[in-house]
Amino acid sequence: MDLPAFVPTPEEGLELLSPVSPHLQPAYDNALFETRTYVEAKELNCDMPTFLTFVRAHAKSYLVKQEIPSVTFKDWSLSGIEWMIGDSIFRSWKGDDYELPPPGASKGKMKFLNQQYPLPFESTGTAKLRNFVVIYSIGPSNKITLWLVCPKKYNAEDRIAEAWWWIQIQDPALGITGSPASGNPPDVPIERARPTTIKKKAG
Amino acid sequence: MMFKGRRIRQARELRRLTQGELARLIGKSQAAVAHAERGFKEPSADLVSAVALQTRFPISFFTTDPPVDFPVEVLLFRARSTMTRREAQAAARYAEIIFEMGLNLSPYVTTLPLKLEKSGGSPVEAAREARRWLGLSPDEPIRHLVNTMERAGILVLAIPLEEQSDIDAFSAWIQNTPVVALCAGKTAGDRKRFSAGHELGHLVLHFDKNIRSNEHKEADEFSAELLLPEKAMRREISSPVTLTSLAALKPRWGVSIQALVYRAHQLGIIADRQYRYLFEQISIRGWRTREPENLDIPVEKPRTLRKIVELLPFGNNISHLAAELHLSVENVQEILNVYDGMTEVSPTDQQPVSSKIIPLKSKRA
Repeated sequence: MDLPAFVPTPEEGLELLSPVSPHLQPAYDNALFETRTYVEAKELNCDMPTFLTFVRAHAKSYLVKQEIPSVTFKDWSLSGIEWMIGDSIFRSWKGDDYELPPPGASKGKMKFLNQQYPLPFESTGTAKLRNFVVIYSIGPSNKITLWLVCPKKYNAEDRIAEAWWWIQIQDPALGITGSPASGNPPDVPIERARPTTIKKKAG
Repeated sequence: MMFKGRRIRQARELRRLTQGELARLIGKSQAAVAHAERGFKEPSADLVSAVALQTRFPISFFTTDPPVDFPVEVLLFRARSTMTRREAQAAARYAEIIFEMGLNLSPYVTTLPLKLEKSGGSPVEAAREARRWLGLSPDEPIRHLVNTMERAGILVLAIPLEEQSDIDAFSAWIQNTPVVALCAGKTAGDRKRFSAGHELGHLVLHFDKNIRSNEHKEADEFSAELLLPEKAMRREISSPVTLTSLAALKPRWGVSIQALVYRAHQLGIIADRQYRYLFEQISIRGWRTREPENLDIPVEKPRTLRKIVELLPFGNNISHLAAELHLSVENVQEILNVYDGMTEVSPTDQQPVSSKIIPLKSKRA
């Protein structure tokens, strides 16, 4: 992938996200469960956008409770999730695979998507884009997929939000290693029998 | 030379053949095979030669009666519901032959004292007692369950069934010896550990051969408490419970994520709704049939039989060993290959008592 120098690579993006990424899948897994429980218990008849907003609210609650060092969560009202890691800003939005949600009338979202490129005098090769989106997509079978997206621009006429790249955020369960049986077990402590015993037994 | 009909049956069932199928293969009538097996008529050398060829056993195998019988009816199988009687018989006949190998070689080695007892308590109480008998902590993970069982004097057999076998394990008290047979194959290491615990439960709880309707449920309860003690689970599974948090426990406890979900529900740590949700998520991820590869639990294999062979003065001469045991080299290799070799265990500091060993005499003579 040929990217301009000011665009972080997907791997760099994942690295920037790494303090939070192990918590994202459990956050959304738990959030989906909590939302379903709530909706079913209250017998609510809520539409999908509302349902997904509840999911995000639960995910936010989960993430904030983790008290992750070096991560600052912004205290948005309602369910909005935004956090900062160093200079990078991450927002989590509901969406579909490879489809950034259009910002609607939200000026803030438009600005976030049309992120400012570093100015020429900043282009020393180190200044990079700072805005990222974590998309949570919930498929028809309730499969949750998480994407890290580096937004490029929003075309208001076509109402299409473009991205520099998308990369799936791996389920942290797939990165766990280790085994209880690492190392060989001790040998069974049997020995050759004494010759006299052998005679007696075998005879 | 006298030939034994019971050996024909044993070899035939081990190769999963019906009397009719074997008869067709050797060009005899089904009645001839049936009569030979039942001892109505002494098997002819011609018939035995043909059977030996088809079943891949040496002629000498058919000259003595088997010293032990593993009746399929009394064995407690942990298996998929698709297990056939033919498959069960094959596994039982393998177990007989491996048990016999151990029996014939046992005079040449020391035996381990049996630390296992029989319990009249509930499965949970029995599992807690079993941890004590086996010298285990009451609430820490069991690192090598099969090895622990062998060291406690339980005879653990490895059955070289093919990879697609529906049988996980079975057990029985045979000649006052607690026997657990674990089937080799592609089954995941965590499932094999749970099966070993399940069979241990049968030995401890179901020693009187009385048929119970819930014996497998009890053995599962035993295995769950043995491998995932309640006290430890309450300490380690905390809310909110997610697949990620349970996945992190899998390598530590050596059980499947599904077993952890089941256990958390059984102990009331999670409610019905969450239990269903977690299983739904397991299915969506495709983990019902295959949990993530990075979380694979190594397969535990028994060691004792191969250790005995290694201690024999002719243990490294497989032809000699096979001849002594009235088996073919192929038979012996097939069996020993599913046991741990000396490179798969940590050495003990015990040395052989004496290097002067009396040669193994055939007990069949």
